[in-house]
Amino acid sequence: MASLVRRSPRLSPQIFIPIAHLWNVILALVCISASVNIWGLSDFGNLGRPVQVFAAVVVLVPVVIALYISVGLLLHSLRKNPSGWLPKGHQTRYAAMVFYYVGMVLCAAALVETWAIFDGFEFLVNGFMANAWLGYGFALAYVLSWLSGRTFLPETLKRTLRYASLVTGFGTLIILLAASDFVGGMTSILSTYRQFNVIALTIAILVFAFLATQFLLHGEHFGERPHERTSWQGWLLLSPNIIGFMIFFAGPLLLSFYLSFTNSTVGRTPEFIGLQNYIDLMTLEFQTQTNLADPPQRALSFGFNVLGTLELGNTRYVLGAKDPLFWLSLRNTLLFCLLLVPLGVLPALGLSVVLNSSLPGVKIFRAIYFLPSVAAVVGTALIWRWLYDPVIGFYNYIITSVVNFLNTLGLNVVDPQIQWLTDPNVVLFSIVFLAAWQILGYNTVLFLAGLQGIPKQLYEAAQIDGANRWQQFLNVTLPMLSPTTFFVLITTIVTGLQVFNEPYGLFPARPIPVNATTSVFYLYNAGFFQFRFGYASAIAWVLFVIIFGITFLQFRFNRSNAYE
Amino acid sequence: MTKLRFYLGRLLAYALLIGFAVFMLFPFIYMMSTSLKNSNDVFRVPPQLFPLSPVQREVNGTLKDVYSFEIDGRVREMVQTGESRNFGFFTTPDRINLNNTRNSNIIAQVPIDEALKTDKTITLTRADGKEARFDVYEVTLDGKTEQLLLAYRSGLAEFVAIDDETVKLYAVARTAPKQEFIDFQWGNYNAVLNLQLDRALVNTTLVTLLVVVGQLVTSILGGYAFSRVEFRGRDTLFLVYLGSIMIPFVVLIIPMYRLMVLLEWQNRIVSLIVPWIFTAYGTFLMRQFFIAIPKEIEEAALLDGCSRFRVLWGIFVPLSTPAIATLAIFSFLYAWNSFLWPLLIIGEGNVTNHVLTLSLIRLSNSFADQPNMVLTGAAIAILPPVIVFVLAQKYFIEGVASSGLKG
Repeated sequence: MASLVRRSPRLSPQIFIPIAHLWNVILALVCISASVNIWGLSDFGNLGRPVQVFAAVVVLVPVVIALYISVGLLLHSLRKNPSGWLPKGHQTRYAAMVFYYVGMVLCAAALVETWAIFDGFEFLVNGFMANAWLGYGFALAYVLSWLSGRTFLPETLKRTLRYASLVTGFGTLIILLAASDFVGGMTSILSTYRQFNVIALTIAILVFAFLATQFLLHGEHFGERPHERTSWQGWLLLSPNIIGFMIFFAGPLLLSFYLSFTNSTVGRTPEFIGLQNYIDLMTLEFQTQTNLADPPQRALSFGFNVLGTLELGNTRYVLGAKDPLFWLSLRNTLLFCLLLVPLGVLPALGLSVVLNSSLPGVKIFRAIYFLPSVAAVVGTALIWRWLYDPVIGFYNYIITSVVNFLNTLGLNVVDPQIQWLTDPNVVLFSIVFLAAWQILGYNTVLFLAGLQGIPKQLYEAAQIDGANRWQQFLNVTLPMLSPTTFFVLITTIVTGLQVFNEPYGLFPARPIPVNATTSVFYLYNAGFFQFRFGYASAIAWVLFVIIFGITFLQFRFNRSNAYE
Repeated sequence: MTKLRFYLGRLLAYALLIGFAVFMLFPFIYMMSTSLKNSNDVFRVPPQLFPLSPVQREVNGTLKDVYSFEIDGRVREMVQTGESRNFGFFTTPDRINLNNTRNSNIIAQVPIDEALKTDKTITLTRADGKEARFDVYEVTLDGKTEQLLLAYRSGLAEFVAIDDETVKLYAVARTAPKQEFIDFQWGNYNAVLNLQLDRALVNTTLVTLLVVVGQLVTSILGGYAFSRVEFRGRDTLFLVYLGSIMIPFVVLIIPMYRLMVLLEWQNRIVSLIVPWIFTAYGTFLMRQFFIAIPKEIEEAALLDGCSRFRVLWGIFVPLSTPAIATLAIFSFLYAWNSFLWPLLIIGEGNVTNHVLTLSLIRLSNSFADQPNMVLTGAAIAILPPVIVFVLAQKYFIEGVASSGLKG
């Protein structure tokens, strides 16, 4: 049967099961004392009492699992086959394997952090900066390996080249590590073995590893059923993903949800404030005002600011919000998406239809259109900032040239002299044009792939029925392309809803114009300029609901399509 | 007739394609051209694409810009002497532009000390009702003395011919016809790299390399488990994984930042790498590809006693080069171009650990009046992905196309 690792010598269960019991007791004691410790801490990373209590409880989970394993082992050694929720033999084994494996990984991570190995990235860069010529070594290794893959060379030469490239590459790497003070780092790691926690962690890793392997190898002893024999391999292969997912996704997601109900900020313990953030964020007030001489602000209650007014006859309708900037940023974002969809999708559809007509040179054009989507948005935003410059920028120069040309034809056109980055009525368009330029080629490639998937017979049948090009496009291409179109629309909208880099790079002055403030930019301001972490989390969740709704729509649509 | 229509259609199609190609490429062309300009050249109005430098000649031991003026039908090379002289610009009342006197129709341009000021003044009324008063001068024009209005006065620079010091003339230095030649300022790249962008480049390369390798490893392992190993809870886990793709990064910004602070990872390169090597999207991509590989190949190998790792490394990885290339390219672009996360974690202050996108913002702040430097930085950040794209175009296009087809 399939095995993940080569079989290694097994110890008798009489030896490792007592060790497991002993280890469980030690772990339980350590975890209980850690839990008490966390409970009593006066400050827990500024995250607040609920998170602290949660952490104290989480630390107790290993105690429960250790107890579960020990009970299971005892029952199993007494040859009892327990009923109900009591652990059965194979369940005990699984629990032990997972438990000891995760323990090993966590201890290893803690050890790596204690050794400050992650500082090695900086040292590596230092070493490379001091010896930039090492770059030639890697380049040479790449060239050699490239040459070794050419088919026209004789086999022996290729093999020599392959070895040469490996030697050059690894040799350069070793020199780089040496230059990055890797040896010094290693000796300093050895010197940390004078510390108690380093020794403890190392022993813990070894014991965890030993126990995990022993439980793995003694499947039969615990009555493993044959069809379960490879089950652990799946979990092992997935374990890096699952651990990373827990630490860098699921955990933060929960924390974000919790923070959105607190007034978390820098240097203060957050308090639970219920839905207050959402209320402050979303509350609107609608009032009418009959005395038009009054300022609109007067119609609103305390704490509200004017979002918009509308005058009809003798009444003025005033819309106020507790946080008008949030609503404005949301309006900007939605307007941005609304403009991005026609500008970034329609030309892409047109271009893909032209590209699909098997003209020579199509691949070159496709590559050119795709080019902007590989470039960093910050970089392209800086390019466009200067293209938008009202004096030395090319866009106004082109507009002026066209206007002058039209004027020589006798038309009387006024040069608009657009202030792309300062005129409040224009700034949003400036972002949209940049974003549309950047996403256009991507969408073209998506459409092109969709078009190439449409069977040719459909067009032939339509031609026989006497449909002209336009009718074919309307009645064959568009319906057949609708899944792709839907996908393109959704990805464009979801990208658009999260727009941040474009306004950040485009506008040199801070704060950026109000009409260019997008929702994510507003979140960034709230979180990292005002340090209102709780409030910013609430913004994030509101955004998430919008984005999720749109993505969900796509999943539903795809599913209904698949069953057709 | 049909042939004509065919060619006309072709012509139209190519016109459209080329038009869009120019539109798509132009910002890049502008970036390259600006990055090769000198600091004066970038402020030329109207703008032009070729990087130009002034022709310089050594005159009396100093290097001077050369101008060419046409004097008496002969083009002469001249240089500025450094002297200037105050000129009066004279005209008649009917030729004057009252809104902007500098736009008046000037009929005489004479050194102000060669014109004779009279006691007379003329007062004219502008369209908006305001009055403007002008001094009247006696000016000698073609040997004839005339009384003219002084529209405005301005200092003009003195130019002298290189080969003949007696040939002199006065002109506005800014608009004088300077001799220029196309001159690429490759030194800009060196200058910008020396502003710690070299370190940012190395940082970015290291981060990108490790993120790509890390994502490949976790995705291949995870994708294989999801597609080939049967275990309890697999399908539920896969659904959870799929669901996590739908969660946008914005939700995680704040808590991830807090987590990094808690781990004391802020301001460090590790925070740009380790959290990013786990990818639900990549795992999903690899799973979709692996699932299409016939089971028989694997079963034969497993029966022969190959371990799972041998099967994965020896059979699945070589068979799925296209999927791996696609994933590598996507994660490369993502890591190389990422901006929001480095901005939050490293910030604009800690220059040593900057990645290129951050350095670009720093550059654009400190060189707000030197677009050539800023766009040189942009070129350094943008060119590597562009080069990779040109080399591995097939995989980029196929990867994007397949993401659309599968939905």
